[in-house]
Amino acid sequence: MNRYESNPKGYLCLVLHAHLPFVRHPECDYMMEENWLYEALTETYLPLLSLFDNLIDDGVPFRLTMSLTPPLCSMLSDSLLQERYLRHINKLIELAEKEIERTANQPEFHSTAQFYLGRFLMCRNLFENVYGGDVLRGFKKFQDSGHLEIITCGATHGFLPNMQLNPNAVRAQIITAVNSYRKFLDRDPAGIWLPECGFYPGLEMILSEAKIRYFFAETHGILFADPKPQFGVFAPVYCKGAPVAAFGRDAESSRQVWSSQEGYPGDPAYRDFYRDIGFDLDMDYIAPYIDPIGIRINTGIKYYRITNKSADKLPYNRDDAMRVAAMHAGNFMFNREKQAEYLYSIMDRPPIIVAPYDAELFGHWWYEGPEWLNFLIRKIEFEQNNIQMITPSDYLSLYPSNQVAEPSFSSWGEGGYSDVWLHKNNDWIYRHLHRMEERMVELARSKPLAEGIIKRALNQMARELLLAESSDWAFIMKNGTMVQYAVRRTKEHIANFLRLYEDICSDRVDENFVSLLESHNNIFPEIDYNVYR
Amino acid sequence: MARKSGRNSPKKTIHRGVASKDFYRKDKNQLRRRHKFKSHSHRLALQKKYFLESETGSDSQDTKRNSPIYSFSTDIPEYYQESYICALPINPDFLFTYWEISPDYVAQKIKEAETDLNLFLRIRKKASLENDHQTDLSDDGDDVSPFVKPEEDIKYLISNTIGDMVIEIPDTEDSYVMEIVHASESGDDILLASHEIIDTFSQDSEVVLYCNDDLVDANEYFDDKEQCSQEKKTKESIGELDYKLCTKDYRQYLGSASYEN
Repeated sequence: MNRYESNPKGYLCLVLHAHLPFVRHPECDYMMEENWLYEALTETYLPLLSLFDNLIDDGVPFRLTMSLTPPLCSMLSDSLLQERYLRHINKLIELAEKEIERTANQPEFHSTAQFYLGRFLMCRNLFENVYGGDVLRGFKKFQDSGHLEIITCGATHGFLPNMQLNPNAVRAQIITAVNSYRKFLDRDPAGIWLPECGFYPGLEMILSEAKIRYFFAETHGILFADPKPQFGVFAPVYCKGAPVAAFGRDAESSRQVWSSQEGYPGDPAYRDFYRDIGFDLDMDYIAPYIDPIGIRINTGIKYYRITNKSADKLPYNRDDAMRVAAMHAGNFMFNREKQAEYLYSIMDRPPIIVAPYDAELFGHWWYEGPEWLNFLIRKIEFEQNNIQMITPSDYLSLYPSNQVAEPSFSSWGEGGYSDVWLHKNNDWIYRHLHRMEERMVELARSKPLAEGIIKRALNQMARELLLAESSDWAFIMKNGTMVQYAVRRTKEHIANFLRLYEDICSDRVDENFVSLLESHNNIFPEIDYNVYR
Repeated sequence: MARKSGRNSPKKTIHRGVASKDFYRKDKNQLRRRHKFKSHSHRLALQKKYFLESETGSDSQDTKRNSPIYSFSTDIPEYYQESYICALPINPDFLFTYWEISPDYVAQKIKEAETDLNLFLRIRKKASLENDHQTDLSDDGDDVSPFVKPEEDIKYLISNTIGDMVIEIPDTEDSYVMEIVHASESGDDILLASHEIIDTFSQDSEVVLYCNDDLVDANEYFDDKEQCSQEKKTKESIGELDYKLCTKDYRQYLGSASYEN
């Protein structure tokens, strides 16, 4: 049966961009930055999988687009990180059980403590028993069942406009990502989430080489396209340079969720992100659940709601928060209906409203985000007939006639261009990254048939370069939190790369060093450095 | 021109031939640090700092648990002993450029010119086809590239052979070449490094209400784009779109993805 046979007035394309930088530290028993993955698993990825299961159990159809970046796929599939997550969630369960005892005489917190225990137990069950530690299997299952369209991203989320001086470097980011996607998801990606939504004219040629059929662009990337698209961002455009479609982000639906001032996540009833027992409780009590050297961190157990901007917070009430999430879902749907109705009246087809968000917003930053999504999907199915959920591939199949235009340089970062990734706090990295890219191309061309340890060293050089290019490091340096880690990671990858380069040039490759790097920075085990030729 | 937040304030304006241009410069300490040369190094000297657990001696269990059993070097070079200049667009108004001129190359050029080092960052605007441009000639008399008149070049005096700078783009939607030159006493510029043509872009806020461009069918487009472009499928006019309602004011949404709780 054609899932789109009801002729709606518009389509909603929800896109969740799931990404974390590659953080894996086998050299340490505990590394605080690995918690980024564990927190996202507990608060976002596993709740989303649970949500999808529940929707299917209830017979609710849905179509979502998700980008799973290669670093995230690599980490989710990594046995060391899987073991460590199990240890992490077990500790959380232990802490939640202690919290139930501790709050036994505090009714305003006790039910929340019980909720956390239930949530953590659900996560462990899903992680360990349902997916055998491999959460990626879950996402693949929903793609195979036709509910998710999973797309790829840059190999390490490198901000492509800042690599445009060296097309081989851009190509390596794209081709490596596509190869990684094939390995993890057993098919070719139809589309790509450009890292940071960063597009520059000419990039479509490389996307086309990789057989990618569509990407997403920031609103002004489409509105400033040449020529101006007649449907604005409400229909895709085909790029002039190569056969790739570009979908523009709808600003209105983005603002309703993203905005810290007007957006839903700032509602007083929702859980406050910053009041965590990792900071609130006595050190003696909380010490076993924070950084072993005594640095307080977020545990994920938070008892207060946003309330207001002051420090005085009211206790979190899960039921109240759910009611607000349902109301916000209804509001979002209503606005999309009205938007679609109007656009339908002036377009020759139902518009597509593209609403992309960071997946980690749902659950990690906005704790009730997955529930909001749950309500939204159900309401769209049962409470109206004006809009339907759709994926870009399906929209292109339904409406294959589109305007040809060249999207303009754009990103979804602050300022809309490269300001975030070319900032005074991070612009020092590009001198090194560009020299590395030149050296990588030089060696790939001069040693195309390398074997043995030279080949391994060249492949590791490619990994180190890709890891250094990750936009996350520049982003962190600009924003000023965890800067030390981002600088260290960048410098490590640069130094590792340059040492390998020197060793290869001088024909003195240290096999121990290569082996150590291969086991430490083990992303893309099948990479072929010839991708840089 | 609105100043970009977070950047250092404009400190000094140095120009020749055209009206003054504001530019932003890195702080002096940073430039001085980068300017240090390691005279002995032809290749990059990187320390082999990593060590394996077996080499670390007998740490206590507690130390081992919380400390890395090996670590990688974070020593990176300050310079690469090469001559280059690179430029990247930051936004429609500014470019980021960085450069390095190798000391050997500088020494050779100074010797040839028999003057003190007198470095400039030169920005040359590439002439459009309609412009009345003059053509640069290389030493052997061949055409190099068409530029607007040399007196319209923009020059910034730079005091370092290694550095970077944020430059306000003179005119959007134009093409530029960035160069590092040594200005000799005779007035001739000796080219030390150049960056290929960089196209800037406009932040055109004008949104066309209705554009008469044809629609193209995806099947033809994806199958054979070249052929498809000859077979555009014309659609009937759809009437005028009210972009104000469709898109609101896009400017307020730029960068709205930076969510903060």
